[in-house]
Amino acid sequence: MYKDRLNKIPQPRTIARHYAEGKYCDYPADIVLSAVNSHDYEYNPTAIPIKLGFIQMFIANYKAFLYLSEHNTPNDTSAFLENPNGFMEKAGVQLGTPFDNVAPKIFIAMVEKDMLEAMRNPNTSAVCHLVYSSDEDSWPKRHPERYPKDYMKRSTYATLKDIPYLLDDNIFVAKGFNNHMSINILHIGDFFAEK
Amino acid sequence: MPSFRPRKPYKIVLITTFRCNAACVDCCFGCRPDRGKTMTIDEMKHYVDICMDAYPDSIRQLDLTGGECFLLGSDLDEIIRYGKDRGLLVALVSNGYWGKSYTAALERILQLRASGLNEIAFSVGDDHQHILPLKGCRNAAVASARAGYKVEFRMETRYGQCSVYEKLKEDSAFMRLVNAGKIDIVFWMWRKYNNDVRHGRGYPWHWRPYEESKPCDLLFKNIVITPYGDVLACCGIGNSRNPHMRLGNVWKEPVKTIYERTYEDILKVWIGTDGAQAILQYVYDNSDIKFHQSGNGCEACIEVFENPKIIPFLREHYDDWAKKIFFI
Repeated sequence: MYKDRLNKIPQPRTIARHYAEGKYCDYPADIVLSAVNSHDYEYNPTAIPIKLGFIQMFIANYKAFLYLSEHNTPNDTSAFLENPNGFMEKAGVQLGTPFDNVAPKIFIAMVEKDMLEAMRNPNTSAVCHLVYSSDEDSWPKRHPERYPKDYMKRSTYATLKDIPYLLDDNIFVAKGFNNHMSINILHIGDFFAEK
Repeated sequence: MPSFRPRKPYKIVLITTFRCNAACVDCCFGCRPDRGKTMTIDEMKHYVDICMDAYPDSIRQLDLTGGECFLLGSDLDEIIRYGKDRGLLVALVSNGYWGKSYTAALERILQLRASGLNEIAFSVGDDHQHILPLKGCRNAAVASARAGYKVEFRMETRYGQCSVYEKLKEDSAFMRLVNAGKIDIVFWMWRKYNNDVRHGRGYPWHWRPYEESKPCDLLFKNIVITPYGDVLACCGIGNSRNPHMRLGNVWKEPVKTIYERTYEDILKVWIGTDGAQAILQYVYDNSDIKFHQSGNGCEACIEVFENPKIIPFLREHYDDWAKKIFFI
């Protein structure tokens, strides 16, 4: 059993720094908040942010995919990979949520010519065939990279603000894609997931 | 940052002051008579205005607390009037020091009733009463009940004992009002807080959370504002000490942006849906992390945030628990 002792109050700057680091500051409220408000640290109240998986990242940012499907020159794709959020902002495309580190690489893989053709093919299993193709130089052979399974296969949250949990196929049909985009995305998620 | 769809708040809670004449050793805010920022009347009105502008169709109530809000003097009457004029139901919590005589208490409560006060609660216990006479709080509660209020009388218990209640049981006038349902007795367990003294506590051990978890009902309902203009995510005890409960400051950002930030934190949403005890249960079942305390409600929540091992563990196992809690 520890013993009672004097609660030694640190300097205000120390309290504020601990607070910014997310450490519980066990001192009187007035002392803590006075210190916090008199020092300009980056305070972050979010203990554990919501993590989106690839599927919901795609749902949130499908406009970026549509834009890239029409602007997929090597210059465009390298500029996008360099600064995905800035690129889309410059293009006037509104994102549902900022990109993470992985999704832009998959978006670029999805706007390659053969994949776009498969997505536009009225045969709704064309993407599945392409993804599991064993032909030399085919799309899967060009993409040996894999990403964490939890991320690629994470379910979608049903109650997020401004981010739906289902993909609306009709949006894509209007842009010339087949009416199986929600299934196509599952194939792609499955393909890129670590086994 | 992704956020869950926010629910609108229905209550503004103004922590009007961090000053209090009771100077309880174990006060959850560490309030003292000689220190503590206090809101000015203009600040209080401003806080009410910005909250009402942000959520005009959902906010129904204004709670005034502290510290001891009766130390505001005539500003207390004015903010009650202001809240009433804005269409709010106004409630407050006091230690009842102002009931020095029954007549004085009745006079004061009638003034507040005229200003528009709707509800009143008192907070008493051994920790208060070693400084403030119990008689004052008793007078204030009896006068309030006779003035027509349904009084909530909160008494601290220690190890299941409540010495204040034992004394009050012998007060026939008080007990008549209790039996008539005009004074509602509420017991709550007192807890040690580190203010001037850092209390000793047991060594951490592999403590099995045995109680059934209850969803937290203090999150996602209130806009809690401190005298510094900070918005806190909940009105539970110990909230100001927890850096994850301070959402921002209304002098720097719009109150709506700050309030809705709570919904970006999946841990708070978990506490709101299942309760902090459920989180400790998960940690207990899946790790060797030892706890200093368990229990339901604020105790468990404080353990989740204070224990330096729990949040890193939960971050690391995000998909495991999120799958069970949030996905079908």
